Amino acid sequence: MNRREFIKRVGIGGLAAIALGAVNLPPIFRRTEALAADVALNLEVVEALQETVDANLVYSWAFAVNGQPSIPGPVIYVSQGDNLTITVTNTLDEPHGFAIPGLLPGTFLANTGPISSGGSATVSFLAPNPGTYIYLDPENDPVNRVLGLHGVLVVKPTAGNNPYGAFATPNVASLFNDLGNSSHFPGVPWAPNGPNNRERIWVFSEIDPEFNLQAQVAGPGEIIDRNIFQQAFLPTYFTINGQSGYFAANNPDIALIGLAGEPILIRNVHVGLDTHSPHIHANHGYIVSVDNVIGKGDEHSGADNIWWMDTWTMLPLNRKDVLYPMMRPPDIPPQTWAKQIAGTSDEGFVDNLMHGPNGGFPIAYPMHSHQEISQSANGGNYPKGLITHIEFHGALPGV
Amino acid sequence: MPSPIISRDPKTLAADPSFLGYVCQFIDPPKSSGLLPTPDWIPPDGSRLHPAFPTRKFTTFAQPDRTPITRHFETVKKTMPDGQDVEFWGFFDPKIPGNSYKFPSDEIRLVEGQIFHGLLGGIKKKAHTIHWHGIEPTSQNDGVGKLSMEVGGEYIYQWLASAAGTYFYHCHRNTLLHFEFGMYGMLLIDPLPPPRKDPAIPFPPYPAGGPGYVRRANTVVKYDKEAVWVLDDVDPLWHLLDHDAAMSSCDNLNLDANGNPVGVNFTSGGGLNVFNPAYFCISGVPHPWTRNLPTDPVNPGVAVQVKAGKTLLIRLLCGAYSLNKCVMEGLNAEVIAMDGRVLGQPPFTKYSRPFTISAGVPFNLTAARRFDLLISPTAAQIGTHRFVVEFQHHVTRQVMGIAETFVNVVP
Repeated sequence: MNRREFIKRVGIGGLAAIALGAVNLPPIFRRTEALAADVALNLEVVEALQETVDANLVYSWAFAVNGQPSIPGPVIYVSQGDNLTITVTNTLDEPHGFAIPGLLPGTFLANTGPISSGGSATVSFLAPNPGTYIYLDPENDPVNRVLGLHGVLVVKPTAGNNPYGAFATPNVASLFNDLGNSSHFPGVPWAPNGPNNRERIWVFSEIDPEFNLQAQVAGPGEIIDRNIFQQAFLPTYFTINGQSGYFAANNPDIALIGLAGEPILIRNVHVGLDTHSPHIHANHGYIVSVDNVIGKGDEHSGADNIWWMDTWTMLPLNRKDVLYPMMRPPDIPPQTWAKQIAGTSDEGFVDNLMHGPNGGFPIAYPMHSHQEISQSANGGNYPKGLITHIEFHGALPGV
Repeated sequence: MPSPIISRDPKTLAADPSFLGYVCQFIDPPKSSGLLPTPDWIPPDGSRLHPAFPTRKFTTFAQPDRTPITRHFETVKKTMPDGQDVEFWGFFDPKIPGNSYKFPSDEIRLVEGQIFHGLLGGIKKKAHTIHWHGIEPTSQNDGVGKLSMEVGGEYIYQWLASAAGTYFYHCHRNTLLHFEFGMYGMLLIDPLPPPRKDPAIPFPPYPAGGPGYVRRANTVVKYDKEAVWVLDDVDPLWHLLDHDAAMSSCDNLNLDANGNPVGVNFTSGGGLNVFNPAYFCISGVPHPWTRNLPTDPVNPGVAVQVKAGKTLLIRLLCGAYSLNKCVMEGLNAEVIAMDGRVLGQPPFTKYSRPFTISAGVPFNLTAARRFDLLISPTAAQIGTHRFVVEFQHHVTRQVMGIAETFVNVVP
């Protein structure tokens, strides 16, 4: 039997999420959550079809839960210190695995090791310090990861007014405490699990369909050469959470949507092979954590030095948490902003998607990788690549 | 049994032409013809400082007010070191007598607190926009075509220059191609001088090349020399392409009698994901001419000369699609700002502080990032110090070329 006749299509509606243990799931995921009864999770490595922005179906590999594949895999939400048990079953021909890269290159917080075709393996580990982690298939690195076997593990603190709890550095703690509690950040205080949608996860990746095809036609025992893969990989589709262009820009799980005065934490991870340079319009973003080092700028800047940037670098396997303050865009003249708030603005385009004839909000901006090759799809079709929207739907009083 | 697919699935949408039109509209914004009015127009008030901006006003300016600063579209062919001609596109100000377009586009210099008026016009075909990178205005003045409008006629962009620093401006239509064509220029916002200004330094905007004042943490400090270095990689094959190359046919949407789009197709094989740069430039000068001083009579370069004991400000912008690994040899460089934001300036950047990159230690920049570097060479450092940039392929990280120039420290 040709099992490929039964390949499922990947749900492309955005990130699915799983909360293990007692952690509260951010509200954006509550429509898709699958609350587990305990801290155990079963993942399957399966094949799947991923749909591109120009409606091509691309053979991929994916992690699946309860028979449902997704690319990226489901976001795993846990609390710091939870004892996690993850069982991974390999339904494919070649060896696969499950691992969480550690703080140093080549180290792992957890790793099943290779799982042969049809086999299963289980890892148990304590949830690490609060932050954003990548899980991936480390076998035949980076082939299996880039072909779809990747996802995000978010570890929430057990207490505290920031994403890192007691592990926050003084400047990171101060920044989050200042939100809504200082003259320069009017608006609402940070609320780790508050009523508004205050967190996003952006998983950056790319697809080279030639290699997906190679994986599809490979017989048992045939493995894609990892060195050729790295040297010949031609990024053809550029994705955020598996989506591109229009679909990423208008996905409420990806786009930053809110009121001025409602800060949003963006958990950036990069699982592809390209060099990205995400540029965010309308506000600069604070880089509050780099590769799970809280308060790190870079190797030159010393500890607890939080950069405020409009463009940041994402290399393969980078994790960067960026606080987007969602403040009044500072270069809008005050009288123009006053008209915006009063609903009497002359700006806007009724025949454009993002502007209503309401004399005010919403106003919309893009976030895109400024490594502009990433704005293409299948060699052109600008702007159908790594892009999403920032939408101000109004402003809180005093902002 | 296929998995459930939500309503935004493109395959589902393909059966609904009106929705595909919606997707197309997303990348086919309205284009202006003639002069579009600027909403909420704030007339220049002579002082050029916005009354709402919380800083002291002063009325003496070194340069006449040219509001609005004007940018027209132009192209130029530039001969590269190997003798090949490469076409560049960009903006220039036709109101300056004798001015012509040079790659990169003319530098714009403003004063912190100023209301900026920038007229884009002179579009020869189709449309362009100007995005003022790092400036955060209303969406209509942000210059992102698909989220407001593209400019086929004329439009005067308006915004408040709220924060001193290093910015740039560029076209944001078919951006991957138009930015590669060189459609960018520097946009610098100068702070007011301190109360006891050095009389040898004019009021801002300060002269290109220095001297002037720059914000450092919560103070304003003097610099004697200024270098503005934009790193860029050039793939000459891209420079043979047309304005709308590889855009989907959505961009030239045809409507049927009922207003529904017809002929909606995606481009395939456009090749704009294949980037093989052959020239490596600093501020429009290809390596190795970058090594020369700007005064070189044959091939002016970008090397900078500074006296020992004086202060050099380098404004560094990565305009490349490659990863740029940079090394300043022999001189420590203090990073005082990045992306137009001063490190350690309360209240917004009190969570950071300036830091030093030691001589010879590499640092990376990627597209659109900016570092402002202060260098204060001593008498012991008199001599020639190399600044070298490796252009690493954006996927393989192989070094495709370098660009180097020098800081000459003289007695």
